[in-house]
Amino acid sequence: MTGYILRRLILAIPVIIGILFFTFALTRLLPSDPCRQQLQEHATEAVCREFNRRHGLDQPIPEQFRRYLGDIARGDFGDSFEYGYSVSRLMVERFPRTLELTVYAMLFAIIVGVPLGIISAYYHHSAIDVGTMVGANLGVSMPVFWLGLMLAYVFGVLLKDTIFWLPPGGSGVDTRPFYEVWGLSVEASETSIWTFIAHMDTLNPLLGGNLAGFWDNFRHMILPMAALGTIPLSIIARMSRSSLLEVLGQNYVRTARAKGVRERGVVFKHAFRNAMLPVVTIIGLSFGSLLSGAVLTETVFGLSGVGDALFSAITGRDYTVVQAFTIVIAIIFVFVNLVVDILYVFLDPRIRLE
Amino acid sequence: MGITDSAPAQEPAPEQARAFDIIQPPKGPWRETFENLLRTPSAVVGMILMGFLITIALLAPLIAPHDPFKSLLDIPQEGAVRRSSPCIHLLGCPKAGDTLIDISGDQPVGSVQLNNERLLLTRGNAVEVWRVENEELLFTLTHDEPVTAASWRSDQAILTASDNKLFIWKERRIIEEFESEDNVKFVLWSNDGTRFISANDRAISFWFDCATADFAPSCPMGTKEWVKEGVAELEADWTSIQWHSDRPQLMVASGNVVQLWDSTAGVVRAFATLEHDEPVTSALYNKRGTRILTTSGSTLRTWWAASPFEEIQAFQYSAPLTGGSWGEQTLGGREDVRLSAVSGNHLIVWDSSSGEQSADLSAGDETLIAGVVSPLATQYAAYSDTTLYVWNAADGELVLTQEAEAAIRNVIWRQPNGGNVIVHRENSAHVIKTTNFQYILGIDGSVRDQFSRLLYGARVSLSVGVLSVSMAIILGTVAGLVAGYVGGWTDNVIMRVMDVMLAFPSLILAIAVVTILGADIAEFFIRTIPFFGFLDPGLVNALIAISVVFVPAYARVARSGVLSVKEYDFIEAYRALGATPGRILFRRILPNVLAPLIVQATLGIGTAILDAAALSFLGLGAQPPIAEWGRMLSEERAQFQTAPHLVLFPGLAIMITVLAFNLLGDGLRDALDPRLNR
Amino acid sequence: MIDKAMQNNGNNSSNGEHALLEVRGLKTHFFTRSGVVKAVDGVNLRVKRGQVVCIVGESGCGKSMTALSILQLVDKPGRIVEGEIYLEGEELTSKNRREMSQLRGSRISMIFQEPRSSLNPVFKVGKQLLEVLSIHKHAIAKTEREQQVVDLLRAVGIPDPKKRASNYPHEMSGGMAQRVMIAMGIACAPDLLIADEPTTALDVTIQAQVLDLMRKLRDELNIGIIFITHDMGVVAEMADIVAVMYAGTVVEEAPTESLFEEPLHPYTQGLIASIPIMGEFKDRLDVIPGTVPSLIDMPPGCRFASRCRARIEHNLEKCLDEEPELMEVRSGHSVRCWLYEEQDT
Repeated sequence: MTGYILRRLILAIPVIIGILFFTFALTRLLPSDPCRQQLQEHATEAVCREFNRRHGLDQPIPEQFRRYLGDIARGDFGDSFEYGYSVSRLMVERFPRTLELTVYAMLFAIIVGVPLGIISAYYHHSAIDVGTMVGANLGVSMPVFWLGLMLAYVFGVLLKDTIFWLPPGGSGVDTRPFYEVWGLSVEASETSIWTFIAHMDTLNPLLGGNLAGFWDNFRHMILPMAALGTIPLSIIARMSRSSLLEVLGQNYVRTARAKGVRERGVVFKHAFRNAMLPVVTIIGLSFGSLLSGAVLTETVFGLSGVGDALFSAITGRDYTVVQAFTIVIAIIFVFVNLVVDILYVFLDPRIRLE
Repeated sequence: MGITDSAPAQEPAPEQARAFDIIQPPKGPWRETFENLLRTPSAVVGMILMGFLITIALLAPLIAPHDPFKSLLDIPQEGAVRRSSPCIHLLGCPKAGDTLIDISGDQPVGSVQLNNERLLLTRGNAVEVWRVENEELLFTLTHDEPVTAASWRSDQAILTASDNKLFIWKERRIIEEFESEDNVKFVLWSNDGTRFISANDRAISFWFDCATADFAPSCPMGTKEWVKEGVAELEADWTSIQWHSDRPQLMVASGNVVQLWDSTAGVVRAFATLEHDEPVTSALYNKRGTRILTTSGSTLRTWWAASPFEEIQAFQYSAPLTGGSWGEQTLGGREDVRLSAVSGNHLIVWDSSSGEQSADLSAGDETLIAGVVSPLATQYAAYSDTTLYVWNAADGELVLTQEAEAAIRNVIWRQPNGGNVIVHRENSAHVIKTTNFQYILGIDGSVRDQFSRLLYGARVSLSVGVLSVSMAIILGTVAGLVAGYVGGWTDNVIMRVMDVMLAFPSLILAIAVVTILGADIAEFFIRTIPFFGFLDPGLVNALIAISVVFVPAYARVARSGVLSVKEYDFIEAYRALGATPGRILFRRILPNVLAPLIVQATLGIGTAILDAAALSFLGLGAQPPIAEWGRMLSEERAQFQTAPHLVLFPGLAIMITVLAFNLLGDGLRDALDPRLNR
Repeated sequence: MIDKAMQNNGNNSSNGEHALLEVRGLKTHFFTRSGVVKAVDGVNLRVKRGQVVCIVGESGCGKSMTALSILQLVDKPGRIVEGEIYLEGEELTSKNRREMSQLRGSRISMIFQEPRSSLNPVFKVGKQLLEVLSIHKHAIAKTEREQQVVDLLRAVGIPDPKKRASNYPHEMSGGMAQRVMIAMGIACAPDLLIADEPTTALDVTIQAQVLDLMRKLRDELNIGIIFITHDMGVVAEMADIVAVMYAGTVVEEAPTESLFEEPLHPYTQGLIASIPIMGEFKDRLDVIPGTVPSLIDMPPGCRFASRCRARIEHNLEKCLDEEPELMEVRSGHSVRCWLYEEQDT
């Protein structure tokens, strides 16, 4: 088993190097050169020569790549010229919110999707099944940003003045950093883990015991979460259904029934774990669509997270930010799939032999 | 499609073919696949939807009722209903003369004002505020005595006059209360909201809010309250009163004169007088407050509204004129061109640029009271005591004649482009549709017909989907076939590159690729590939980015197909017969991996359409004025709260298209996968 | 150790009044889009304690479905449409799902054809075995149940049972897996064991061992066994009573010796003739010509009529129009064929 995990880890290394190389190439392939890009009208010949020398752009490409890797290894992604501070700091400001959003969306997708899939597989061909599958088909065909706007309209505008009203945008109140509430005298620099956690909209007030703040911030996340979670939800529901249907036809399910296992035990104990194997893979893969969707969802709901920063970096041609965020998102995606692969080992004993 | 032609059985010479009969895999059962497809309900739905979409895309220029790229304001005869609620034809859209909204009650309506789709009316002791759009009574301000006048400020503060008192209401509560002169029959806020006037027949009082100015001559030191600056005494009863749009100047028509009053110096004084020979029947500033239009006797005049306050033009008619009106107030470069007035049962329109009379429209026998040109001069409305008439400006066609028992007091155009009027009768207020012209799904923020744009959007989305997937298939299949067939290092390198690409979430990678691609590459594609001619550079970039993102998926499918087919005996046999690798790859192996590729492609088109819409939504794809669904959505996003249908329909269009491809792809997969044919 | 597993089953005294299992007029139909498939169409069966009843027939003749119907494990779109099933006088078809699941595994248990796919791949075999005990014998302490698992594995001849209990199914051979299945079947000392082709997927030496094991169990536990197979060799070795099934019905039922000595039904004759006999050389094996009629629209008359040589030889018209009843031609030997009605009258 250790061998398997190790092999998976080793296989991920070339991919990560590939990602780094790709993003490195990205900046070198840009239509205009970095000097002119960043300095705009100040970019005279002499200034650019100095600029290139200072940023090592006059070095041969392999040397540039080596330096680039070195910088990233030290966590130095350069400075954003739009925000005027380091990209690392921007990440610490923005990532927590996106992280919370994607985690909530994923939980929402799993918590709703898996039971839906199970119910429709169990009541195969019933109205519930047909309804769920029609819904799931629509769900995977919907543009995230559109769903977001529609949800915002229904819950933010139509249901105004009712108890179902939900804020159609924004991210709630700022809450006091939890370490201050705890009275810890920590040195929370702009890129420290303390600041990172304190930037989490819902975890921070929760840690700080501020339930009202938590609830307010969580309410702002409900609609984005639902919008973002719908596609993975539909995929998971479809996958759970088809997988469970296949498993329910397997011989070992019949054996379980013949043993006298009650129907609920058959589904939840014997069929469920087998049926979840492909679902786990799908969950890992749909994390990619979540990260893509986060860009759109945050734009729609005005949540200032990674997606929002990436979007404004693209429109503002802030390539350092685009590059850094692309790397981090891709590496997170690789990492999530790695975790899924490893999780698989614990779920499926057959893999260990390979 | 030529799919059957490429099946491997037909190629070898007869005697060889016999030998291969046994060792060849079965021919692609295309016919059976199609039959299976017809048996899957969801696939049938997918095919029907797809046929529908393709038809729309092909016939868009024929079906679309309007130009999808041009503002309807540039097409004057079309009285547009700006950003109106959608009207689905099947459900029966209202026609000219239909009452859209009915705000009647048991007591007569005293006065009517429109402000931001909210209607303010006085009725008995109350002032009612209605939301016009959905005919909803928002609130009622109740007074002890009958309300004689009311006015609405832009911040929703309401000024009312009742029983010799003036009230200012805010948030449904009285915040100020003043004593006034007797018989106030008119109150009016200035446009900046710092002043108002209250008027009876002969006297106009000027009021000023001292809290809005640090120092004003009218205000005693330290006063932060409303003060009455003074009273303008008139020699005759006034016929019209209007504030200037920017300046605190009041235009009052009374007797033979039009006077401009001002109170900024601390005293109320008339600083200009426009003299006429006969009583002035109507007077009106233009929108920007640069000119004044008056009718007096049988002459319509225009005047400079600033020094030297002289007459600009005069238009004569054969009979006395009343109810003068400006037309075309906002169109760039065409301001104040049309002027209208009524006389007897005639509505007369002049063109001020040529100085000529441009229309003389008559209706019925009754004397018209006033004519109103819709703000964008697309329609003219005029009313007699009980009848409302509406003409189209372009051809002078009388589109509406509506009679009613109750007398008409006033007619207000609800929207700048015509389309509906608010008719105030003695006992009611109605919104009446004045055009037969219909915009099935409403008008977007740039005053374009949404329905036509949606139809053209089908062309864009379908072609982007198909083109990007085709490019991806070509690149991916070649890469996959080569990797799988050659194997070894080639395979390793190609597939590791693909792995890296798959490591990026698709939209993120597409965004990255779009940022690399400059306008040059898009231009190159547009120039060299005929299909791309009607797409704009931004969209071509998006298309390229999406196809790059998709390459790994097809490469993987092709490669795994090759690997599973490669070791079959029949491939060995071909090799033994001396076939070249290229020939084996494309004539023998490719047909065998075609089935999974087709499934992947069908599903891929849906995803490609979604991604293209997302890129356009982010501003990275289609650029205006192209009708791309994602772009349409992002353009109208800002007003989704007030005009949700402009966001709803493009999204639905995307969803239906993607759904069609998904259903068909799923159906194809089931039909091609023998495992599922239980 | 088998005694130990039996201890808690006190009421297994042989009952003279009732047979252990009696199936009457069982019909199980599948309601598919292309029509009603009559997989089991009027089957009668009797099993006594200590008896091995073999059900023989071609694949698709409804023998597995009969077994699944007894346990009421028929999957949709199939269901039992008619018939009664009595287990020691208790009617089973009227029982609800809960009562049935209490019965399965404790009083009737079943062993399936493909042992490896019949075991859940994600659980250890010991755990799967333990589950049967946990369901039906929850009164016993957990440690004791775990001990029983090891005992059961040893009883079915698995070497090093303690270690094997923590194996996953994919780590076992087919024979081992089938032993686990058998252990699972006898774990609660059932009254009736249904074995659905338990040896088909196994190679010959293992097959013999498994058959030995089952015989031993029958003798030691005095249980009734329904043994389903299409292998006449196995039948000869195992059965006390043989029921030959064809197209959803039992066409002949007889004590084993009687059947092999004098098969009555033309189909049974064909089946026996098709057994290759060691040392005897045949040009080709005797094959019954033709195919089983469609179970959806069964022709009237005898189901075997279209393939029956005897019908042609005896020129029997009736076979095509009217279906024969199962009639007892001699003591314990019944057959469903018009040939013997002729003889009787």
